[in-house]
Amino acid sequence: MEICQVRHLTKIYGGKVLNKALSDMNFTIRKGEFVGIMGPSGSGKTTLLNMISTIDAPSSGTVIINGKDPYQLKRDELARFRRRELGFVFQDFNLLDTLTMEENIVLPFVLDKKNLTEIEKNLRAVAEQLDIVDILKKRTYEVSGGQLQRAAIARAIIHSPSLLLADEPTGNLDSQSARTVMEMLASVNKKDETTMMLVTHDPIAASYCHRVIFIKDGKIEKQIVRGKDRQPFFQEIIDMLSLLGGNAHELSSVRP
Amino acid sequence: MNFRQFALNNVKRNGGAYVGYFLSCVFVVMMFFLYAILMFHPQLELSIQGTEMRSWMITAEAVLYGFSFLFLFYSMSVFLKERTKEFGMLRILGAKSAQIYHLILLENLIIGMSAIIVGLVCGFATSKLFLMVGADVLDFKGLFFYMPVKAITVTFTVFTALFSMLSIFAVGFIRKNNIIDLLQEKKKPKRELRANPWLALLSISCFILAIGLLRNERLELETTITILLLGCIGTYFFYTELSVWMMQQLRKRKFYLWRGTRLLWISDLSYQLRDNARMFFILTIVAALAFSVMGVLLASERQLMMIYQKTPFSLEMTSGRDEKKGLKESLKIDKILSQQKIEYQKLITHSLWVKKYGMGMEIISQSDFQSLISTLRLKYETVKDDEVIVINSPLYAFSKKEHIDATFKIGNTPLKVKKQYEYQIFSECSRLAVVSDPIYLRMNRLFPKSLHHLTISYYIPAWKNHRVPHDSEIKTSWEIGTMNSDKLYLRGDKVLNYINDVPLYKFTNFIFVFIVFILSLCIVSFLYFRLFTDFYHEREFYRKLSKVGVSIEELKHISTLKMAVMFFFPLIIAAMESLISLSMLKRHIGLLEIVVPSLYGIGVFFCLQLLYFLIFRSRYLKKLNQWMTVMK
Repeated sequence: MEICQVRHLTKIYGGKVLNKALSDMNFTIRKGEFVGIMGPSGSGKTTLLNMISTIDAPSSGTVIINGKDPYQLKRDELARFRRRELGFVFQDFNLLDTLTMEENIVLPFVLDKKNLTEIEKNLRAVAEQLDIVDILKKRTYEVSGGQLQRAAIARAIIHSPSLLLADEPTGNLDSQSARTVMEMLASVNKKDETTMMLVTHDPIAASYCHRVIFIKDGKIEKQIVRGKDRQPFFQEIIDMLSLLGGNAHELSSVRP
Repeated sequence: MNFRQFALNNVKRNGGAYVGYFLSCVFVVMMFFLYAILMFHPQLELSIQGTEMRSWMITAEAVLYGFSFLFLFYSMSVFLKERTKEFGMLRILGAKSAQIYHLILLENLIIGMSAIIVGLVCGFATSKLFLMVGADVLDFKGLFFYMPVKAITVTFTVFTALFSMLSIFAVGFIRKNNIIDLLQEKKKPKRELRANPWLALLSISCFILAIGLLRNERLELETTITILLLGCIGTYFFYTELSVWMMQQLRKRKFYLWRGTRLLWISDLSYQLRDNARMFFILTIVAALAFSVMGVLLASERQLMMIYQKTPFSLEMTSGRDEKKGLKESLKIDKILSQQKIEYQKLITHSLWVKKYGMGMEIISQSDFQSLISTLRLKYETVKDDEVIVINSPLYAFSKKEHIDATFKIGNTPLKVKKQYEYQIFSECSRLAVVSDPIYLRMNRLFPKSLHHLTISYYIPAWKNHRVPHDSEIKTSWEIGTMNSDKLYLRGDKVLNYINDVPLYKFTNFIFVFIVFILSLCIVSFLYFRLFTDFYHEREFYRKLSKVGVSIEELKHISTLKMAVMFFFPLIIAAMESLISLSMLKRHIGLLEIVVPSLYGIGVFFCLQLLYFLIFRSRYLKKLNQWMTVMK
């Protein structure tokens, strides 16, 4: 079953000079898949993510998520759609520092006015899954970056979204935390069959995916599918990146 | 470009950031100036009421100045806090601390001086309108427009001093040595708030103690000051600790909190309360004082009207030592009244003026009472020899009720209280005791001659109570009221009393309405400033929320609630504080009804505030919406 279908997606940014950020892009993500999107700076990764996460409308083409076209929805329905069908993980965690960890995690549920027992049941489940039970009562400034990102993942998956979108989730983390976070994402993907799309610069993070789509200048350049092992897949990604960019400096692990 | 030019350009070209601060400065100057124009008005100085009210007005102006200082001080600290990053940047670029202090000093002087000039010009332009309104309300014909040299001088001196002081304080604000602290000022995450439960308890006990002291029979000056101090301390810790503590308790109630947008705005609220605690405190104290004075004034004015309406006799005279001469003198009044074809009933009442429980009381006989009461068409019962009927005036807050059947001693005669009525009969008499005729005769002989009085009252049905007196009534009352002689004193002339007091109240009310109006505008300009400077970092909060799928409608809901708290929370607290203290104080001030008139005044104030709130809300939401659309 296809969770996300992207058909002839084009985005042109206006202004005096027209800038084609995406041109005629097509791909699908099936249920339970873990897809990575890679590409050099300015290739249109973020634009693509914005289209799929419904915060920016395409110039032409369609995005179908779980059988629905979000751009046909009204503004309020769209917010609800985003809240129920999508889960987001951001580079800067996007956690509110006025709330405790657990309050941050349950936010999507609370906003949907679910009852307390259901909220708590789900909270316990995701907290155990992501190993953050101990820090639930803590505040954002009291825990490490890796823990913050795990809490953000917990928030993104607590309502079992159809599609989880991760935008450079390891961008602000040290290598150890980055590995834990990626392993958590992979295990969530495997256990709950959560469909995921990961936008990243980091080849190590990308190597956890099932399939990596490379884009350059708004077009899909190539797709590579992971075999059994992660190590050779990582090597393939590195090769692909150097082929695409032709310049080793563009492979920095952190986006500007 | 030298340094002075840099400072000037910094202000000139970065207008947006300065506009809020500048406007609040202009505004404060303008209000002060307008008020000064009225205060120094030559005509006001000439009139009697003017000199009477002078000290009041100066006090009000001083309060206004104090408030301006606090307000500007606060605005400035917020403004500088917003700009810490800029100062950090200048430091990175190699500016010396001294240069930055110099910059701030210069900037503040530029802003201050231009605010004074703009404020004076605006104030001068509006003063014409202002004086017209003042004249209309005060009923001073032609409170003319004049060249307010004195007002300009005072405003200029006073605010130059204020802005210089502020500039010096401003430098104190940014004495941070680390560039990184300056740069990261706004990025610091909000720490968890912990209220000190002991201080919260202190706040509650201050309030309880203050209420306990208010219950005292008599209020000495020391007690009053103690109560005010306790109220201030209680209010301060109410905002900094108690309210935060209550929020914390609320946050523990998951069942309540984890439902809809509540989670977001309640968790944010405790920070909002703590961040604004000092300003809320100032606002509350000032507003509570204003509400109290407003309540007293409104209640007094209402009481005046009530006395006028409830006093049954239009004229009351008391004879001197010689009752016969007094009676003879009263024929003159009869003549005046019949000449003007005014129908009247003349009643002659003998009474004994005694003291009981420290209060004056008049003893009258049953037959006199019956004639009074039948003229006024009131209900009554007869008394036997061992009984007494007590009539309490409804216009005296002090009068205590007697128990029915209790023994009531007059002189050496024990009497049983048969019945009690609340009738207003004679003015300036809180209580009448009606005894049977034989008892009255006996007492008449017992009490010394100096206590015997003869009251001649005129009941004029044509002079209706439910409206303000007509000119003809005023004229006649004046004629009779001025013929006071040692044979016959004027005991009560309700028309004259009313006419004499009304302008005074009008005047106080005008000044007061003006102060309240300024207060309201000050609150609003502060809130405006605060809301729109906060917007820059509030929008981060909204951006984060919208990223996780909070809809625009929900965002609007949250921001409306947050804004409503800023607008109304301190005022509600102030209204509560002043209502509670007024209702307990009314006995001491001698007012009968104070809560309703105060509520009326506070209600008007809240309506004004509500209007501002609605305007601000729509502007704020529009801005938020705009920004959200741009962000997408």
